[in-house]
Amino acid sequence: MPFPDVKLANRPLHFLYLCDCSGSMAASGKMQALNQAIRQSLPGMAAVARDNPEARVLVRAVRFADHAAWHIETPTPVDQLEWRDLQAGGIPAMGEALKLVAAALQTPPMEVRALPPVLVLISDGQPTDDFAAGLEALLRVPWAQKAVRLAIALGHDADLEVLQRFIGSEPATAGRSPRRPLQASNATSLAQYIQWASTAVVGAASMPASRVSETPLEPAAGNIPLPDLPPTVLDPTDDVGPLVW
Amino acid sequence: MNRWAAPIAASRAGAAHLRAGRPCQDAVLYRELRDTDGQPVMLMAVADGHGGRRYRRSEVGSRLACETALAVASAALASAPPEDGEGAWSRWLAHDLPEAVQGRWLEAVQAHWQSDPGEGGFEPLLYGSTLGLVVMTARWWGHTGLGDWDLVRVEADGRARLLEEENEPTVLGEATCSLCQPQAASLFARRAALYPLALEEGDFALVLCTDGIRKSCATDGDFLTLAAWLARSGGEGVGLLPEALDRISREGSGDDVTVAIGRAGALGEAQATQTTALAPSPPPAAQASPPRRQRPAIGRALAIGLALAAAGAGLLALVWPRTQPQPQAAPTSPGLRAALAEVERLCGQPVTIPLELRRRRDLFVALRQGRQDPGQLKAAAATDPLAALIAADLPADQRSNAPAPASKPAAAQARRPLQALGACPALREALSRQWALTPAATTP
Repeated sequence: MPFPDVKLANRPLHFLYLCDCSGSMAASGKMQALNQAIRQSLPGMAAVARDNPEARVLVRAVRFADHAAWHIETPTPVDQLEWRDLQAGGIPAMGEALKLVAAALQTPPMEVRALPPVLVLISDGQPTDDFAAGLEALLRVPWAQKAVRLAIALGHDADLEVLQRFIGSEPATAGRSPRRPLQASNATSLAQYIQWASTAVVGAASMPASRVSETPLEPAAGNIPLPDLPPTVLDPTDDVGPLVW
Repeated sequence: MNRWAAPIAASRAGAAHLRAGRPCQDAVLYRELRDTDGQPVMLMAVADGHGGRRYRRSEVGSRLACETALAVASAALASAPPEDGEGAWSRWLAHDLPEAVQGRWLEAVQAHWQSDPGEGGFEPLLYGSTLGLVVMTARWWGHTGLGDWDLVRVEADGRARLLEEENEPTVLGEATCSLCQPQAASLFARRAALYPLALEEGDFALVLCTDGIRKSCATDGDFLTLAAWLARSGGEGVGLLPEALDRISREGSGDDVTVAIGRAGALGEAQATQTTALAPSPPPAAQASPPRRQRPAIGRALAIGLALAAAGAGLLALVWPRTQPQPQAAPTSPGLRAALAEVERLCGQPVTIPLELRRRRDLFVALRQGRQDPGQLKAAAATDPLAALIAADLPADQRSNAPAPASKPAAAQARRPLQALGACPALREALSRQWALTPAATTP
């Protein structure tokens, strides 16, 4: 009997950037560094996607300043993505951005058989709107609960507590520290974090190993075992550039 | 009477695992034995090791899971049968067997660790694995286990129905239940069921598979079509099943892929002589099975359909897409015949209807939210008649862009299309209850 007429398909992996575009991002070249870091990460991300054909990596981006809006609304295959520069100006409506993403993670349009998405929140300041309401809306969505949520703090003014609430708490396990927001103090470390999220994390999320549900009564924390950060970022004695932000 | 042919099975390393140099972490095993009455019994098990650093011996864990399950089940089935028959076997599938399997599996993985200790201390987590087990006897068949395996029943005419899937409400992302969890034995009960074999029951196959197959399919309809094809073609030739599994993984999820197929009656008989490589010892009794019987369910369904057509062809035409122009609305299409047979099957066992509908709750949600086209499902009724019935029952005012149905009058309920297909009150009420539990799309 010939193979049946069924549609076999790889699984979509949605990767979403949530980028702070408030006025403070214009200071000290942060906005420029973020644009450059994302643009430079794309070839590596595309290479990871090619190496993992079972996953179809689709990128979207949200910018938030006075209001949140889609910067890239259509889920775009990474090899077709052309990054347009984000512009800084306004105050960070982070809660609104989370609500925007929450709506996008509904099923539909999200596919039932998609891989857990990856959400990367990048901010240098504090939310000026109702962050708690936005986070609550986001975490009500099953796909957001399943997502790998990462946060990158730019400079010492970033609200680490807010970013920690976004990524959730994950207690320390054997040999691993509790998960914390990544803190970028200059363009070099920001580029390394973006590179790590768009390659190592995408690689891990593309072919996730199944894992044990912690208890039948409580959802497990952490949906994809995250790969290690590059040693140069982990070790403060390494030369990752001066403290700028 | 022996209804069961020897199972056929195959397990293949996934395309992504091969590329990464990782072993196949799935396992499959089947066995034939005799019960105390000398009747043949078939067992088949699949297991899926979790993979990843935390579960780095899960390929051993999955193999031991299958071996342990078959050893424990064989011992029980070959000993004295319980006094109250099927009730006791049901409890055995849900409670006694799981306790024994988990205990023996923990002993087995610990013994493996002691014989080949690795870095760090022993913990069952290293060997984490799912387990799905199907037991097929002369009087009943049943399943049990835990984790993200799927079980599909395929009728002789190709209709396929998802019987069992993991529905743990707390399982998120790629998480699944596992034998390495302390409470593992208690998790079997919700995946356990026993089905008595009726004398007049038609021929069918059971397709038990690890999650790599379903995750490779674009839709559940594709998965059921694929399962039906595997059931019918799996025994056709040496190498066909492994080749098919390789293709499924390569073009799909990249995960390890494993299937075990049990075949009842003539469905297995027709293939029993061709499965020497995958099923080394087809039982003689399978070859001596009586000739395939008529399928009375189909005959009755046809009668119902013809009566309905005579009484209200116009109504049927509204309910079901016609695939043939003449005669109008007569149940000559395979899809309509399958749907009518499905109605009769469900209404013949009303107690199982709520469970069967609950297992398709994703489909209810997809229809309710407008993500699934009901017309497509009805057109594919020959493959998945239950999905087609659910689609036919979707009232216009329950679509996602329609007003809430809270104030719908009872008269409107009474006009639902399933009545035209002869659906019993139990089926219509169960559908209504499931629709009521189905959330609409959340507005941003």
